[in-house]
Formats: sequence, structure tokens, C-alpha cells
Amino acid sequence: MYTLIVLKELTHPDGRLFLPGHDCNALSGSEVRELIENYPDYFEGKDDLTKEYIEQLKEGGK
Amino acid sequence: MNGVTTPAGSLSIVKIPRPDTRKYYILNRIRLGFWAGWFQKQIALATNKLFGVGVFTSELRGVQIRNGIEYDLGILSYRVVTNAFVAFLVDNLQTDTTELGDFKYHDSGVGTTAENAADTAIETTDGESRATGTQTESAANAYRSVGTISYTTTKAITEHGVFSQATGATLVDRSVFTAINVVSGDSIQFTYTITFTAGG
Repeated sequence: MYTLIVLKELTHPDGRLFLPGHDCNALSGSEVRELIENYPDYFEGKDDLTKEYIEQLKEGGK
Repeated sequence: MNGVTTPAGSLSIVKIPRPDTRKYYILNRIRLGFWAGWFQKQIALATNKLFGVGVFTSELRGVQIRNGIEYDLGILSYRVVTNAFVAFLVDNLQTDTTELGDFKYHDSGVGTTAENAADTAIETTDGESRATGTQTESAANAYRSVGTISYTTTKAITEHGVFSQATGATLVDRSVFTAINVVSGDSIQFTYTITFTAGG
């Protein structure tokens, strides 16, 4: 499971609230993909596992 | 010995006006914000009735008290539940030391009856012990518990519930789904998330 750090405040259309500085814990790969692809400036990976996964997503999108 | 006493003094009366509740009632109800809140509440309730999803609604009522007499002002306003409150709810679902902070016990079963808000238990338990979930938040207003149940026999798992204790207790949510066929040695990691959307 992955963890993202919130960089900027975001109210997601599905009602989720992301506040700066908060950790988004226990995320699945599809959840991370959706957030990183749609809101790339709002999140970053917290741990190495998540950072690597995000890099894979970005490379896969090229 | 006789005498006469004549009490002397003055008496005055001050009329204390009672609150004009009727005027207040009218003035408060010509606000656009009052009716916007009322309308939004009706939409939320209709969504609940039509689709069975849980909703948050709120209202504020007031009673003015003057000289010990209560004057009912009725509904003052509808909404708005704050971001801070929903984030606080989610934080306390993880950390509260009372049973509020213990909705982390995952159970599964083999029942197939559709979910109902009146449910209080798994329909047909599968005989396995409840798993103690790891409590966290996937967003500021989204409480999440991740629990892994291990299976010791072959069965078709079709339902799941999150409870506040390892046995019995209060059920947060019961879910029914297509059978996940497991054999001895299998396990299922269940990730349960409840999101509290502010604004209600």
C-alpha cells in the first residue's frame, strides 16, 4: 500500500478532502494513479515505495 | 397607647417587551441563505431515499430566553458542517480511547441477502475470527481500516462487516459482493473506507 503527502488543498469531486501536510495512507495503486495523473501538482510520494511507483507511472505515461 | 402607621412608598411597573418571534420568523425566512440551505437538505434527503446512500444534514434551532420565559424561534439555519469537523471525526475514529475509536474489527461471511441500513451483524458468519484492522486515513475526511482475514477451510466469501469489538458490538457497514472463493491458507485483505463530506 502507498502513502502520499498532500502539497496543496484539494476537494476531490468525490467528496474527499485533502489538506496540505496530511498523509494519505494505505492507498491502492489505482488510487495513487488517479490522484497523480489528475492532480500531479497536489501530491508527492512519502516513502520510497510510493516514490518509485510514481516514477513508474510517469515513465509509463511517456 | 395607640398610634397610626401609614406605609409609604411608590410602585412602578416596567413593561419588558417580549421578543417579536413572529417578526423574527418572517425576517429569518426571507434570507436567500435560509432557503438555499433548506433546498440543499431536501436534495440530500431525496438522494438518500432514491439511492440509499448515507448523507449528512444539519440544522440549527433557537429559543430566546427572557426573564425565564422561553420564546421558540424555530429553525434558524441549515448547514454548514465544516471541513474541520469531518477531519476531526476521522481523526477520532482512529485515536479515541472509547469504543468510537475501535471500529476496526473486520468480519466476513457467506450470506447473500442484500445490505440494509437496519443490519446489525454478518448474516451468516464463516467461522473465522475477526481481523483487527490497521486504522488510518486516506484523506482528511476519509477513515480507513485495513484488515486481513485468514481462512482455514474452503468457502465462498460474500459479505463483510466492520465492528467495534472482536465479538458482537456495533456494525459500521455491511457489504455484500460476488463470491470470493477461498481455500485453507488463503486470506483476504479488506480495505474499508468511510468518507464524511463536509457541507451538510
